[in-house]
Amino acid sequence: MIKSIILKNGYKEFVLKNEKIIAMDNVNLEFKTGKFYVIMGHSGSGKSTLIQILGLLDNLTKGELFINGKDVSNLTENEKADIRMQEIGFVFQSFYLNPRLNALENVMLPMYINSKIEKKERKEKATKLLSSFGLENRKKHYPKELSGGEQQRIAIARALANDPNFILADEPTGNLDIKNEKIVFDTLRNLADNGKSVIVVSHNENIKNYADEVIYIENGKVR
Amino acid sequence: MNILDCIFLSYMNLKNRKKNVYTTIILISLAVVIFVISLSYTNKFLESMEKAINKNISYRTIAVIPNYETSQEEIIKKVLNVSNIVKVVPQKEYYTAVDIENIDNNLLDNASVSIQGANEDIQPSIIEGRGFYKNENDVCIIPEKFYPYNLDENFNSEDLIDGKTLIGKDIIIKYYSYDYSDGIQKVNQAFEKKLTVIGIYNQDENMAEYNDCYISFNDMSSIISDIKENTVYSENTIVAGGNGVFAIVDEAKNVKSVESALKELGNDDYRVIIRSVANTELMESIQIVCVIVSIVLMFIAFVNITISTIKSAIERKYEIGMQKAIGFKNRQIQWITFTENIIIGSLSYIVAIALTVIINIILKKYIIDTNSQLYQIGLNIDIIICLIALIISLIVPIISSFICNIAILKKTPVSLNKER
Repeated sequence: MIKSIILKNGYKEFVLKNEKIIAMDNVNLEFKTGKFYVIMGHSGSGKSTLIQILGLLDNLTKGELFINGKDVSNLTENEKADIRMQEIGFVFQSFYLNPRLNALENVMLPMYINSKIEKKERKEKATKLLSSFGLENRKKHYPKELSGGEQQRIAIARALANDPNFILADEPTGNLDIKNEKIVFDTLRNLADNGKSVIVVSHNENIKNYADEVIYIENGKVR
Repeated sequence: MNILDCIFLSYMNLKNRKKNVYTTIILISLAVVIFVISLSYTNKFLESMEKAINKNISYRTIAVIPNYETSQEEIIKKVLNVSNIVKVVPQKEYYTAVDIENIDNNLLDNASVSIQGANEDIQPSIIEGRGFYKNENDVCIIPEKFYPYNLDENFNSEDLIDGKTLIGKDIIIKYYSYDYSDGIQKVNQAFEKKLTVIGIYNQDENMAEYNDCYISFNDMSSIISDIKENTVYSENTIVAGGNGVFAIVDEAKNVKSVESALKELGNDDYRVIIRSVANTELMESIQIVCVIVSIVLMFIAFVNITISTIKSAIERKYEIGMQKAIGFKNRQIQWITFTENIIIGSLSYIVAIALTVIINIILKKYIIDTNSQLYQIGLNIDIIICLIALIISLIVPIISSFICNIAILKKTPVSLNKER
């Protein structure tokens, strides 16, 4: 089965203070595994809205969304949660780690709701993931004890916990310095090379060097 | 996610916010302790008062006096059919309003007493010595604190003697019949009766007066007979038949209902008179105030716990949004929160009950009203109070957290992240 995310006639509007705002207008896109996609555009162009819809964190107003051939546009919240757990790993600009759990526990968290991962495998798998990002010696540290770059790598490791096919990242380097930015981009590139579909929203021009495809969004439309 | 995972995740959440958890436990425990103590003390106080009233036979006695000449056996038979009556005693055996003088050895010098009939079934609670045996005569039960002089003359509580010192000793009571033939009271004949003190009772617990003594019904009957048979009346005096009876009720709280039943029974043939009415107005007022205070405290506890739980849920919107983003279902998040609240609520309940027990021990051991055991401070914690405490500490946080989470879980992970 071809693993892909397909968006057909995607339309999203918000109503704020009685004013209608169109965040996405007639967007048609396809994202395949093994490729690195970058979505770029000015602030307010609708790129974050697009990636949130692709990641099932928000709902389309109109249109269809297919993940691995299945129409997910009208699924229940529980069904969407299942797909997010199995197929999608999301990385946020603000890392979105649980401040009360250490690095290892944060990476293990998605595995608790994945019945395919045995209890005894969780710790080992999480430790391997952290090692692959050079963070094994930081596994007992809490987010507030880690640098921005380390936190973002932990967030990426967590996104990979359930071995999803799609990695979606919304401005993953927005809070990082140049050195850590490179580390994150290299990591994401490696994931694409290893068969994942990596979709990144960014306004950082440097990322173009890593991308297989760049998509420009302006006023909710693909340019 | 199975139940063990749920418990583990809950434990991890709690472990890493110890300060919040301890604060919540303390808040809930204090609310529960204050509530339990107020309700338990009310219970204890009311129970003590009820016990004291019940111990005093006169508060459980109803006189049934016929208006017409009638057979006493007939009255006794009718009265015994009324429920909650434990004994029916002929009038002349129960009580006398005749003055009695008390003479004894050098301990009791002209003490004045009032005497009341009793037997092995109906007698005050003995605190030292013993009570009446069946068909026993020439014995008496006296109060723990005995006034050795005439009660009416310049009573001084420092002169009270310890009734214990009289146990086993004999006292002689002196009583008189009078001659009213000239229109004035003159002593007609003097009588004496020797009684052995067999036991003492606490007059506070029995709500009795100083120097209320109990003798057997037989002895009482013979004393009254001596007086009445040797009393000389003037020509115009109408002597009452004395065919009345005294009905002893099982508990003071049933006296009113028995009185009504007896009145219905006799129509106008009998007068039904409650012998002594305990002044329960104060007790009832205290009861109402305590219940209101307990309800207010319970309400305050509910509100405090609810606010604390909702505040905690709102502070964790960010975490909830994160969990949703990585694939947790609403139901799973609710289960984790539920388990956390079970843990916190259970710990709070245990702490609250432990604190209450400790406070109870301290109250009983170190703070006792030595003047009156009736009001001995202590708590009466019964199963209902424990259940209400459990509801406050466990169910209130669970329900308020659940309701709050419903509102939070409706939002998308993105909006919850933005609200941080």
